[in-house]
Amino acid sequence: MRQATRTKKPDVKVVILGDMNVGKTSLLHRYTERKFKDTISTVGGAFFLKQWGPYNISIWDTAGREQFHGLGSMYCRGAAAVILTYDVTNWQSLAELENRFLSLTDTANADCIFALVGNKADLTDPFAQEPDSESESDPQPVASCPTPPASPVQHKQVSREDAVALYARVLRYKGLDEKTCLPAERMCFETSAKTGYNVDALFETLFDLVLPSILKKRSEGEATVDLETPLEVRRTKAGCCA
Amino acid sequence: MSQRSERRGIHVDQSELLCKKGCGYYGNAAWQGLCSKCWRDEYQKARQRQIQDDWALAEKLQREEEAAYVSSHSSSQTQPPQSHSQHSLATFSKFEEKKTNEKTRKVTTVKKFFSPSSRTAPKKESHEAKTPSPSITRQSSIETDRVSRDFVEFLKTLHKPGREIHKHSRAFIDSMGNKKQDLSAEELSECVQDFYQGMSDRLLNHFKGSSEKVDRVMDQVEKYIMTRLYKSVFCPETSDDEKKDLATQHRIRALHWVTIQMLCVPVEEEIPEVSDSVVKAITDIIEMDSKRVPRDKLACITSCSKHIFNAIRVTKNEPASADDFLPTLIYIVLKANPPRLQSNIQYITRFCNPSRLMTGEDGYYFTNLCCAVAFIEKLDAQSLNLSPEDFERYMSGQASPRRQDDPAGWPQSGSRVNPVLTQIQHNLSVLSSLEKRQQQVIEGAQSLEAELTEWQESVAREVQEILERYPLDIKPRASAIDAENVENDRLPPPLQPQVFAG
Repeated sequence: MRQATRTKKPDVKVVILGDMNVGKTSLLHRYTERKFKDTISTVGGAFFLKQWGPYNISIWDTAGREQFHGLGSMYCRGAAAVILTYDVTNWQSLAELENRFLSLTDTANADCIFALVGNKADLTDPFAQEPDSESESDPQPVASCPTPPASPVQHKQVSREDAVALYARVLRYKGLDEKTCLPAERMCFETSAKTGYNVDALFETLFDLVLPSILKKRSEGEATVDLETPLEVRRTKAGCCA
Repeated sequence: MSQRSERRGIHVDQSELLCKKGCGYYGNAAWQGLCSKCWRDEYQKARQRQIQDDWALAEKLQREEEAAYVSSHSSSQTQPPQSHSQHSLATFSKFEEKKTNEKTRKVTTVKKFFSPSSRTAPKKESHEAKTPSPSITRQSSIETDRVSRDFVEFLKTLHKPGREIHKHSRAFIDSMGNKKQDLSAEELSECVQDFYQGMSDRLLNHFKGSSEKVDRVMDQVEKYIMTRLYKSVFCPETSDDEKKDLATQHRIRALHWVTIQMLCVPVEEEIPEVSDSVVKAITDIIEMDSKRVPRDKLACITSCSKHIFNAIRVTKNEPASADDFLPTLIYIVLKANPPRLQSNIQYITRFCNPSRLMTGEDGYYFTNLCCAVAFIEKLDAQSLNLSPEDFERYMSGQASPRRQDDPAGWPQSGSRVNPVLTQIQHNLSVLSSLEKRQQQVIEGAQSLEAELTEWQESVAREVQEILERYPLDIKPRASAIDAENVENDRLPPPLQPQVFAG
């Protein structure tokens, strides 16, 4: 895949939301630095531009501190996808998604896609402790995460069932029909930014799912007029000539 | 510039950035190096002088009219009484009317000057109030001409479409010029955005979907259009942007006591490179106001953000996250108190290409700036992890935050304090160190004096001991061989050698 240039204009944006210290920025860094060289980062780790086929996708990191509660709605304006991130070892971080962050997504696109991501899986899951292979082949999205070990390194406070239940509540909040929407099994992920477990699956699944949104956006702008023809006076609400 | 500054590579001295009046806030080149408040004060003084001059002129004219009236009155004494009385009454009534008008005009001028700029004020008056100084007008017209030339040069490379673009752009500017008085800020924005959309669609069709070329042309169109329309659409009469600007500026000034620690900013300003980045970030965000094109204003915000990221990276030795970046940006905004911040934000929102704001990198940083301003407006005790009592005391100026490690309780070096206080603090620390050094010098001098006295005494003792041990024996002086010959002076002179010829 050829390298995206900094001047390229993104077609859509993906926003990552979640409480402080759940690993939002770490997830972004793991995805962009470990394997994908066609991703541009700023000097910081808060904005990324990703070339996905012929399209450009921007990924926006957000501040999760409670002091900045309410500001997230500004980031979500016009978002094609939102990644709701929590920490599998911290039940409160999942609760915060519903209490604090879900309402911030009201400014996102009507057809916005939601992914629910439980990070730090390496602390509870022996499978997640194994570093992901560096192969360039597209990894298939994991249908369901393996069962946590009998004696985990750290106690897993958020089970997969809790995440699936929250995903259902997110869909209900957005007024979407669960039958017509993407299934929770496909949109709930458990990842490890530390080892890279399931990180590629998360982003690649999401990017594939936002493609229709890009195509729709582009098709809307296709009804154009020839530049050579005289400019017709187009009246706006303000009554101004274009 | 100090040697230290040179070593660190700061090319702008702190004093050059600050307001020329020495109030401690940052100045702006557009306001002759003054901050917005001092500039307003200066402008008001100038207006006051102008009003006083007008008043004096009016008084002079009034006196002249009175003199003229008196002379005409005396010359008309010869006329019949009836006609004289009628004439004098007519003249006097005219004079009274004129005098009343003059007074009314003066009163309204003074009222207009002292009252805040009202949005409901007549167009003529508000226009007069907004008239910039001739130098600024001249500078802006030069810039407009330059942008127009650049635009034409750019369009020449496009040949026929270039002519069409130029024609449409000119037509749009003319139409906006005719309608700007009647439209609200939102309607102005709608007109511009509709024009962008229409032009973009036509270009996409012409360039067969080559979005990169379209973007390049649209950037030039935006630059040309917005440079030409800047004066009429930036902070328009129909909006309350100016009021918001003042409210934000006062709010930021009221929060001058907020420290780095309160905002949990991960930046160490003691590190020279970090300090440089902070200064550059402040400069960039202040410079935003001097730009005319929304894209250029966004570029200033992006540049400021890059410097912030660099400061965090140097401090933490790892890339920054949004949780680090946003509080640092808030701190920079509080420290810089950028002029006309709300007007600039509104201008970018209304007239920037929307795709750039929604998804692009510039848009990300702009969104963060909007978040920072929103946070500052709503900032309370809880936001800074303070008790409501402390917050109220700091806001009212009854107290200021203290350093944990300093019993003297000076504000943190990172906190936004008055430069005069900082200078006093520095001078006091220098004086205390000088006092310590002086004390050491005095102690050293005293010990040296004691040592010298002791040494002198010891030398005297040693000399005395030697004299006692070896008593002085004076022997007679040795005499010459013929010392006893007393008649030496009678001897003949010594023989002189003689030369004989032969």
